[in-house]
This record gives sequence, C-alpha cells and structure tokens, in this order.
Amino acid sequence: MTALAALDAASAGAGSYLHWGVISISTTNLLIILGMVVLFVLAVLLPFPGAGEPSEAPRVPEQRQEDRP
Amino acid sequence: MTAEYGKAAGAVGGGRNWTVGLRNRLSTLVPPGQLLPDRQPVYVASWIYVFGVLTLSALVVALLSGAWLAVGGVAWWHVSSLGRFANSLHLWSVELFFAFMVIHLWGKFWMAAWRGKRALTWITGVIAFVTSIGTAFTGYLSQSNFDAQWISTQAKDGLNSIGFGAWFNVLNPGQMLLWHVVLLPFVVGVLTVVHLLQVRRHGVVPPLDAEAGD
Amino acid sequence: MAATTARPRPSRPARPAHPTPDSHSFPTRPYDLVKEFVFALLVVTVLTAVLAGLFSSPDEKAITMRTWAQAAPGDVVATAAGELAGTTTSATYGPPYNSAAEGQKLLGLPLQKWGGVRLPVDSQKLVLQPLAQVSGNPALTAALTQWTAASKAQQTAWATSYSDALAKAPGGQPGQVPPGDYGPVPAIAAGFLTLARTGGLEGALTSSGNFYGGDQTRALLLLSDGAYLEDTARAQQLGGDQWGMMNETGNYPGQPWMWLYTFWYQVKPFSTSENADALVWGLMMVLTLGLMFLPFIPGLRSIPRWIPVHRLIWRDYYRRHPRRT
Repeated sequence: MTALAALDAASAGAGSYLHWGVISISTTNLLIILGMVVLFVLAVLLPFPGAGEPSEAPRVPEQRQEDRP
Repeated sequence: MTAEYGKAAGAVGGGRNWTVGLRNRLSTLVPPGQLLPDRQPVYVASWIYVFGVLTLSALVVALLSGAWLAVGGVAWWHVSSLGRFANSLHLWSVELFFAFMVIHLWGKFWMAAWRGKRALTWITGVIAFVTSIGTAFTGYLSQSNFDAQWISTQAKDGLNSIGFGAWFNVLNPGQMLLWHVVLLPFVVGVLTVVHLLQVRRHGVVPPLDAEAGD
Repeated sequence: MAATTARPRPSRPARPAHPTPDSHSFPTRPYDLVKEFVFALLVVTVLTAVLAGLFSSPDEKAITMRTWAQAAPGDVVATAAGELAGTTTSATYGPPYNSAAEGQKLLGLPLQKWGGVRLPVDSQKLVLQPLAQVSGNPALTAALTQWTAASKAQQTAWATSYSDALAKAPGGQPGQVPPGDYGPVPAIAAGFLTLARTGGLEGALTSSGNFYGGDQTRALLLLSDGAYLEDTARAQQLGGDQWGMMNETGNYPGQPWMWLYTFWYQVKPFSTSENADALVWGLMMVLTLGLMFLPFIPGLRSIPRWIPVHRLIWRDYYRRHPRRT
C-alpha cells in the first residue's frame, strides 16, 4: 500500500468538522457543548416540583442569636 | 485511674490522646444529623441542584466500568466485543461525568456558592476538576492503540517543556496505567469525599441577600 | 445587639452589611438524600449503557514498525538516516532525553533544562542497536563495521549528505537518490527498513531493559521522528494546530473540556513561538489558580451579583421574600 493510499484510508475515517475562522470543531463536540448549554438553561428555567410551603419552622441554633436584628 | 486520665485528656480536647483528639475532630466535622439529613432548606428548589449528584453518579459508573476493564486486563477490549462494550461504558460515563461537572460548576458560579465560609468547597471542586482532567489524560495514554501513540508523543512536549516530563513519562504506558488506575483515582476519591463533607458541613448556600430565619 | 450596624468606612460600592446566614436557620422540607442518589445512579447507568450501545468507542490500531515500513518505506529510510545524522526531533530535543538543546523557557526560566536528562536516549542507537543484533547479513555487518570505525565527523558528513539527497529525491524514494559520498549509510538505512518490514523491530526498542515490555519510550521516539505518525494524525484533525487536543478519531466524542488549553495554540504569539508549550502551560496554570481562588478575587467574584442568573434559580424564594435593598 502506498503512503498516499494509507493516508486516504485514514482520512476517510476522519469525522465531520465545522470551520469558522480560526475555530475548528468536530460536529460531535459541538453537539455535546450545545447540549450542555441547553441542559443548563432548562435546569435553571424549568419549574421544580415540591417548591411549596415549608413544613417546619427553622431550628435556630443557639450561636446564631447575635445575628438577630 | 486509666479511665480518669482518659476523661481528663478528653476534657482538655484530647491533648495527649490522639484517639480522643481524632474522635473529637471527626464528631464535629459535620453538624449533628447533617451527614445524611432528611430535610433540606426550602430554597433548594431548582433542577440545577441535581448536577452535583449526577456528577457523583457518573463518577461511580466510571469507576465500576473501569474496574470491569481492569478485570479483563489492558488488551481485553481490543480482542473482545464484551470488552469493547465495557470500554464504551467507561468512555461515555466519563463524557457524562465532565458534562455534568461543568454544568454543576456553571450553576455554583452563578449562585456564588463560595459564600458563607464555603471557599474550601469551591476550591476542592476546582482541584477535583483539574485532577479529573489529568486522570482522563492518563486513561487516554493507556489505550494501547493509535490514539495512545499520538497523544503520548504530543503531550510529552508540553510536559517536557516545564521539566515535569522527566519524571512523568507519558511514553511509558506501564507508568501511565498505574497512575490512571491507582494514584489519580485515589486523589479524585479523596477530593470528592472532602468536597461532599464540606457541603454537608456548611449546608447548601442560601440565596444571595437572604436573611436568617426567612 | 447592633451586630449588623455598618461601621464607618471609606466610601465604597454598597455591599450587604450582613454575612451569609447559616443555611440551617431556614425553613426546611423533607427530602430523601439516599433515594435521590440511587435514582441518579440508575439514570446515569442507563444513559451510559444506551450511549455505549448506540455509539461504542474508537479503537484505531496502533501503528507497528511493520505497518509503518509497509505504508511509508521512504519515511522509514529518511528517519533512519536522520537518526544517524543527529537531525531528528529526538536527536535535537534536549532534556529529558539528551543535552542537544536547552529546551523551552517560561519567562526566562529554563524549566525544561531544570528537569534534567532523566530519560537518556541515544537517537543513533535507535537504529544501530536493533541492527547490531541481525546475523546472517554480511553486507549489513560490513556496513555497520565501516560506520563504527569512522570518525564522528565522517559519520555526520555521510549521514547528512544522504538525508539531504533523500529529501531532494522524487517522492523521497531511496531508489531515486543520485550517487554520492554516503558511506555505509544507505546500506544501514536499507537494512533498517528490511528489519522493520519483517517485524523484527517490534519490541526491539524496549526501554524497560528486560523481557517484560511496558516502557515504549524509545520506540515511540523513533516513530514520532518520522512523518507517518503525524501525517496519519493530521488526516484525522488531531494536529496541535487543528484543535487536535479536543478531538478524537472518527466521529467519536473528544475532550471538549480541553477547549481553552488547545485554543492558545491556534493563535499568536503561541502559534509561532518556540516556547509555546511552556507559555501555554504557564498561562493555563495562572487561569486555573484564578478559577480556584475566585472567591477571593474582587470583581470576578461579584459577577454573579451583576448578572443575576441567581434570580432565576431562586425565583420562588425571592417571590416569597422580596429583597429589601
């Protein structure tokens, strides 16, 4: 096998990449990063069940007395 | 006589008795009942809070899948489809681990979660993050395939440039494998335990500008 | 008790006068920590198994000396000649392999040199040592004898001439090299190629010094002295100036968390600096320390206050307890 043919075979296995100026990123990595951002935004925005009234008054430890106004 | 001595030693904080001293330190590490609490502050009400436990879970899966790979040995995953599946579990659990950990970091940053004496929680988290990157790196070096050949010959330049490569030889898979399987997971484990104890010790950080007793 | 009364201070942007309250002084509700962990573990296990089942993981076979010789014989010959001439990357590297160069510096500090030559590698021996073990090839033995008997200067002259001639030959083909004063170098290089082709080079360059392998330092240095390893990597976008640190072979997920580390290598001054590795490492160390000690850095630690994402996270709490400013 010539060197060129070997390299052709190697680059045939190369993934798909997106290029923009100096930036070059694999499609997979981009999807991962975008997925993480989406997950973060959803985590912050989605309502959380059980965010209701407290079922117990705070237990105020003795050493916090001096914080009371 | 011995009992009185022990009591006296304990009374002065276990000054002479190492066991009493350690026991006292351990028992005051976390407020009573807070090691495994069954109640949480009402302000803990957002999906962002699940990313810590998701990170921890992914770490557990990474450790278990790594253990499975260890059972088969270094070359097992090259020659066995079951071994290859074990390797895939290990790869994807690590990808999830980093994804969840970074989202956890984002959340903790925007919550300024270092407030209220929680700087050590933040610091141990960052060190754990960086150590995890190092652990993943030695994992890549332990693949005994083209990836390992390329990554090692590239990374050696970075490490050699600061003198560290003279001791930490990335071209030596025997050394890298032991760092990956023994040394670094131990460090990550210790950091995780300290990090979790800090969280249990101080509790979940209150909202910014919250008042006590609200 | 007026613990929260502001003490007289020089004028400064307003900051809350009260410290962060104890989290245990807030109302609570019940929850199950252990159940949450078990559930999270199950979710992550299933998610991992699904991803692993769907996408698997990459495993491109290692390049052996034999596959290298078969795929790029001209490269093997050129590398052998370069090792003999002392012009390869490993031969001119410096610490930890030799003293041929001082190595990189960070802010003038010769860190690479301070590491010391703790992994000594003789680049010429990468070629000569395996060949010395070949028997039944009188022409090769004679070439090696001629080489060993010559002076250092003569050896360098032969090897350098041959390297230069190879570089000029069409396609780098040894057969296309014009006659010249190369001494035994062509024979040695050809013998090296034959040895590689027949698989005799595998394991011949172990650094562990005994029957058991496990240290591939010398073999990897030889392989990376050639062009084939790098060409193969670059074809898969794994080169240093291709954001390669982030990437993986094929379409597999790489290391997205390395984005900032590899970014610096894509831009000046790092992309054109001889000290790029040391500089990037130094910069990333500073940034990492900055991240670690963020709680103590004024300005940076106030960003969450200025960009109030927390108002969204704790919106339920703030609705119940409007902020008094």
